[in-house]
This record gives sequence, C-alpha cells and structure tokens, in this order.
Amino acid sequence: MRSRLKVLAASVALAGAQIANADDDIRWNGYLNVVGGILQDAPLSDDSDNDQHPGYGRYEDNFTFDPETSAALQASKRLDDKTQVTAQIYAEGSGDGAYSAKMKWLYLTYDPTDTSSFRIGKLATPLYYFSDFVRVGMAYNWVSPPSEMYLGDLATTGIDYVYRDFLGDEIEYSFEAMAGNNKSSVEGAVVDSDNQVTLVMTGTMSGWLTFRLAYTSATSTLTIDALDADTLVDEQLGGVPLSDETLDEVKVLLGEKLDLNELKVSYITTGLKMDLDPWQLITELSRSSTDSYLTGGTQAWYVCGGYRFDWGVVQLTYADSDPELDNDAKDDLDAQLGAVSLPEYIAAQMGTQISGATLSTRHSISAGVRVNTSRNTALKFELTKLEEEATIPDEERGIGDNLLFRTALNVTF
Amino acid sequence: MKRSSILAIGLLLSALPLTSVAELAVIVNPALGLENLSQGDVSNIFLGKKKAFPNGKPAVVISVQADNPIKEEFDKKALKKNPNQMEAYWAQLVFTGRATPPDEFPDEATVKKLVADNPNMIGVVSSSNVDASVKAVFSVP
Repeated sequence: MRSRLKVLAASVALAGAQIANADDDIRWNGYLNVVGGILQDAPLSDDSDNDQHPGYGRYEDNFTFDPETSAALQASKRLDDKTQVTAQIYAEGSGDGAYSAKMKWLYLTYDPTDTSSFRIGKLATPLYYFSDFVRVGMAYNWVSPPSEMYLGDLATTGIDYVYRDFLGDEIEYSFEAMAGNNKSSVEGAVVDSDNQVTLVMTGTMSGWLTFRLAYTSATSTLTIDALDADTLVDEQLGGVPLSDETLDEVKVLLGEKLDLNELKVSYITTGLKMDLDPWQLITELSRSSTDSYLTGGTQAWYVCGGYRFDWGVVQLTYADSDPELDNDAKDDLDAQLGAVSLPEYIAAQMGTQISGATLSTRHSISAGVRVNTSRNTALKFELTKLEEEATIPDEERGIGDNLLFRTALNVTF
Repeated sequence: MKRSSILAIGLLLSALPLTSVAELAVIVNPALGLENLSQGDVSNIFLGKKKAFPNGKPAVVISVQADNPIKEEFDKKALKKNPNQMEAYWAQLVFTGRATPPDEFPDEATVKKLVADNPNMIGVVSSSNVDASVKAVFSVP
C-alpha cells in the first residue's frame, strides 16, 4: 500500500511539474494535407474552335499532388497567464515540384479578461466563416472550401480584438474588429490593401445554430497577371498588322482604363450554419463592391448539406460566383479601342476578352465524403462539376465545363 | 430470516437500477463551493468557451489522455462530439490562437488527485472513483 502511494505521489508530483512547466514549454502543433487531383479535360481558354474547359487552380488532366498539398508547424509559448506568442511555418507546392516554406502567421495574443482577446501581428483576415483556418483541412469536411468564394487565404498585419460572451447558457455571441494592412497572393493576382478594417458579429444558439455577419473595407491595389497592358497587347494583337504607334496607344489606353491602383473595395458576407445531428447545413453569401472600371462587384454564395454517420460525413455543395459587368464601361472600352485605329471587330473582340479576363461567372456542384480514419486523421474524396458561363455576350474563351476529382488525407498533431 | 423475506429483498434489489460501469462524473475541488453545474456550463467550460465557473472563479480543465475510453465517452455524451469532431473543433481554435485543448494526464487517479489538490481544476472520472477528496457536480450516465 505504501509503495502504491509513493508511486501515486510521484506521478502527481510529475504531473504537477508538468503543469508548472507547461507555461515554460513551447507547445507544438501541426497539420498535414496530402491532396491529389485530376481534371477530366485539360484547361483550355483561347480563341480556337476547340472545346473550351475551365481550369481549377494548377490541376491538369493528369493526376498530381502538387497544387494543394501543404503542411504547417506551429509553436506557441505562454509568456504569462494572459499573454502567448504564436508562430506558424507553412509549406505548400510552388508549382515546380518543390515546396516552399514561409512564416505564415506570427502574432501575440493578450487576453485581458476571460471574455476579451487581442491579437497583434500577422493574422488571417476573417472575411468568411472558414477564413481563419482555411488551410487546416481537418477543420472542415470539404477537400477545400468552395473556390467561388474562398480565393485564397488573406493575411492582415495589424491588430485584432474579439469580445465573446454568453446570454445565459444557450446563446453565445462575439464581436470582432480587425484593422491593418494586407498583402496577399491569390490565384493569378496580388492584393495589396491599406487601411483594411474588418468587423464580424457571430451568434450561436444552443450549439446548433450559428449566424455570422461580416463587413470589410479597404483601399486596394490589385496586380492581375491577365490584365497587364503589355501582356494583353502582345497576346491579342501579336498577329495583327498594326503600327508600333497604334500598339503603343493601345498599351497606354489599357494602362489607364485597367488601372487597379487604390480601389475602394468592400465586402459584406453573411453565413448560416445548422447542426442538427446527423444533418448539417452551411451557407454563406458574399457581396463585394469595387469602384474599378469594368466591374461593380461580385456576388458569391454556396450551400452545403451533409449527413453525419459514425464513420464520417457525406455532403453535397453548390457554389456560384457572379460578377457584375459595368456595361457602360464595356461599351466605352470598345469605343476607345476603336478610336485608336484598331479595326472595329478587333476592338470589340479585345474588349470582350479583357472583360472576360476581369470577370468570371462560375458555378460548381460537388459531392464529397469524409471518412474519419482515426481521431486525428481524415480521408476525403470529392467530385466537382465545374462550369464557366459567359459573363458578357460573345465571350467564348474558357466557356465550358470540366470535372475535377480530388482526394485528401488530413492529419493534425 | 425467512426464505420469503430473502427472496423479496433479492427481487427488490434486482429491480433497482444498477450503477453503470460507464457512468462518469465531472469533479471539482470541494473548496470551490460549487454544488452542481448545468449541461450548458459543462459543455461551455470543457469546450473552452467559458474560462470561469458560475461563481466567477477561474476554471482549468484537465483530462485523461485521448486514447482513454473515458474521454471518448464523455465527449460523445456530454459534448455531443465524436473524437474526430473534437479534433476538428480544437484544430479551428489552436491554429488561430484562440484556445488550446485541456492538458492530458495518464489516468483517472492522476486527474482526481490534481483536482483534489487544485481549487481551480475540473476533470472527469468514473463515478465509482469519486470520493470525499473531490466534489461531483455533473453526472454523465
């Protein structure tokens, strides 16, 4: 009996030491997403008579793990009972078979009270429901959230404040405010935003119904590969017999009209999540507004319904992205291109293609299954039908459909 | 004692509900002065949504290790989440710096001893392991 007590005392002492040292130790966490996929048809967006097919990220018509495989290692150290510092290194495929690692998040967390929290540093911008953890595959049931809405993860360097409390036991609510600057790369574009402010309100009732409302505004400069004036002229007028003077005029015109510097951008997003075990539903709607030349903004939404079994989840998702073309601006662009001595049909075609490069009307329907292979691993399979529609009359490049199959293994540790 | 009395007692005892081996108890330190916790309080504290007891004192959640059947049973019955859902839930919080899961310890005995020695701690053990050193404030049948 005495030896048992000694063993118990020793184990408690060890546990106590563990607790005491817990504040001194660095806590390591990480995740791994091994994602592979293949498109039914190679992406094609040109002026040929061949069937056009939209693409999806860097996937091709041969199976590859490169586009979405990623991993992260996070270190957290508690400095005192209110303060913690967190650093996360993240690695993903860089497109040439290599994987590049970078410091993705780095911030200090300060909790002055049980209901308030500040974070200062490089943080995820909470545009949408899953934005904070969009790369943590284990945290949701898709291979990745719908790309019609989730274009990538946006980072804000600044300060974030969250107030979280309860009304009784059943209603939980929170308010979040984030301010700072943002420089992020999303597919085919670099977004450089100043004076970005994000406000988020979330309410959860009895743990099963969550409502979210968010508003973001910023002054943004966009660098979009597909809208570079020199590239557009070389690509679309390369085979047309035009004088250097005319080509230079077109470049200057496009440079002025497609100026994406210091645009006023705003987003309003709403979300609803219902978890009525075994049924679950989540939907989000986003409306972005911008004072750019060709577009007044984009509306994107998705709805996902799922059924939870003991072994995992089966779900179906429909997603849609619908930009608004400013038709007056389109007509103006056509007219101005014609005014610089471009043949009328070329001016109209170029105007159409520039507008099409700016705006993309897409929707998709996905069927997926998540299998919980262990407590901290999940295996997923997802089939997505992609469809890109003409945003403007006569648009033909990339207009068509495609089928994407992906599989993913998500791990957390 | 007459045979009939013995039989009657036996029948009576057999009619009484037996304590399930799997019955669990949420325990706190007796000095906390807490009589019981609601299902909502238990859920919110163990999911890191509330960091204090109803009396305002700080709550520090500790747990047996993830592979202990007690943890899985408690998560399913009290928190309504299976192990994978719990992992997904904590992943959302850990990788955004919002919260961290409870510290884990090897067995119930360690959890009970820590709760008995620390007024702010709260943990889960089998009901059969509850004694005077701790106070059971919620039961999970």
